[in-house]
Amino acid sequence: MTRIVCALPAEARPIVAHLGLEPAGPRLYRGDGVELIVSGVGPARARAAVERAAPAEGREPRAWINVGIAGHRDAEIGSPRLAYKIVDAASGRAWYPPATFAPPCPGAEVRTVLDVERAFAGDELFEMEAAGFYPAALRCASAELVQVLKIVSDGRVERAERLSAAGVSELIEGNLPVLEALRRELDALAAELAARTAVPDGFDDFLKCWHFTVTQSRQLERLLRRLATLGRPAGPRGFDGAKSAAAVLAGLRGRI
Amino acid sequence: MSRAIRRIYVEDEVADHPRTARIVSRFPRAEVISCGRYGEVFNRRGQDFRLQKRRPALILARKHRGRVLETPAGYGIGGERNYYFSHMLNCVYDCRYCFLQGMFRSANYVLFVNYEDFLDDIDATLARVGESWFFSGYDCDSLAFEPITRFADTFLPFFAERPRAWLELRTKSVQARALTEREPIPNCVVAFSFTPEAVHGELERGVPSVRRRIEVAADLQRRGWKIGLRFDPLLHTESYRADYGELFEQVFAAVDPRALHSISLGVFRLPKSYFERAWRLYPEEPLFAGPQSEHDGMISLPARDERDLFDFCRDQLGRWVSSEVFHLCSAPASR
Ligand code: SF4
Repeated sequence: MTRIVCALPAEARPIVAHLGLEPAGPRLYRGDGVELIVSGVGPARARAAVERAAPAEGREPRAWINVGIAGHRDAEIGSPRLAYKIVDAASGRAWYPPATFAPPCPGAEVRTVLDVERAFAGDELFEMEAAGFYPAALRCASAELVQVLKIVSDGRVERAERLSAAGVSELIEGNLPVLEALRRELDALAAELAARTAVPDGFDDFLKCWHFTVTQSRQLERLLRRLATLGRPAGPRGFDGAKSAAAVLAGLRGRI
Repeated sequence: MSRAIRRIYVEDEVADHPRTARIVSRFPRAEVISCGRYGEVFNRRGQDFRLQKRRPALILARKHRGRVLETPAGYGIGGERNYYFSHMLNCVYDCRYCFLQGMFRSANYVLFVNYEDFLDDIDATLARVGESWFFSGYDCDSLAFEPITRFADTFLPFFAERPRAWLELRTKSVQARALTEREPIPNCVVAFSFTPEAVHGELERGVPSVRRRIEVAADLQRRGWKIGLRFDPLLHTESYRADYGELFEQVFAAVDPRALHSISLGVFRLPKSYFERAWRLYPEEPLFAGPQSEHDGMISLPARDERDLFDFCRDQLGRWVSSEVFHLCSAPASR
């Protein structure tokens, strides 16, 4: 499952259409393995959007992607950039999203500002959400699964004021293959994490037969996983005479 | 082994360091990213060592303090004063039993480029306490990244001029050019770590073959370098007698046991918190799933297996080496 956060409806529109997402609530779209949230402009709104979605996080690891437009002094309009550094211009704080896969496009430093950038002094991309989105999403997922993808939309020559909603959608649409490639990479990472933490076979069956405390159920899960690794999967059948969860756990330990 | 570094983070403080410039120039395709302190990138909470191991980045940093530290009790090869230093954190290899995967959350390589500060601290330690051992390769492999780091190239001439400072380079690599291109240094021991072929195949990803490492160790020995052998960790398998027996035969068919500097044995042991983290990273790994015992916050093999394995290896090695060479036996605690 991937969660995509966009600031503007115009950014979200081509993604919603491409992935066939359906409305699932206010500014929320859902489809096969994807959820898209339209956060509104600014880091505070991006953070709030992530925090609103976060309680629905289950055990399954998810990828989080912030997709949107950004300005750069002279980069080609429509070119994609994956953030390798995010700086909150207001506080000076920085984050460094790791890339444990071959990135689908060049990287860039992304600077989150509160107003539309006009000076474009450095080589960074300027935008308004990443520094709100990123730290909030880090609370929900391992850093490798949280990425920021920006499409260059304006600069010293192409001023932001001249951008139309249709123009924004067009820029995003032109980069859907990049977004798809990024999603595939992140889905693969999420699947690897999911495999590591998957509930072992037989776990629920044991819970149905005996009463395990929270601590005991953690011990049960761990023992079942170890036994599965050793090629000795266990089920409740072999413990017919066991009077308590403690007795079951002792029996499982004895099999290691 | 992933040497194709695609991202290099450079601490602002070392951005103008000549070593930084040289290393960055070795990776023309890498993205070079400035950072404040390396801790902003490395070892933050919520990072996954195993995912990062797919494609580690390199971080060039300055080590500010704690450059030369006393070794933990039991770490040494007969010297009275023992220190270790880590010019690098993490390793280009990927051994499943390695404590680094339990110690660090990030698999990125941190290279401290201020070598000269390490050397000053070694000098200061010598001046303070006199003759001492300095162990490198504690938080990394001493030589595996040598073509990039030129660590040995820098440190060996320094030790050559300080006979009271003993250096151990500990490695599983076959990167020996820094050694073969110079005269042997009498106060340097090149210590090669080995496990049997079967263990190597299962648990040591990216590590050169046992045969190649033995060849390199033997070659260095012929050239006059002091060689150490480290059978650490000893790993228990159903066929450990055959496996270790064969390993010792292989080693001593090439390496002259009479000219060995030292041998050490160490049992597999991890602090409980490191073991837990390693198990969560690799739950499918039988090494972490099998029988264990816990003692003083350390996880190890069941005491009986450990004792059998240790005694067997010690006895076998006794066929080739005398007890003086057997400098250290970090015997498992009796219990
Ligand atoms: S060679 Fe040593 S430091 Fe490197 S991964 Fe293996 S055990 Fe760890």
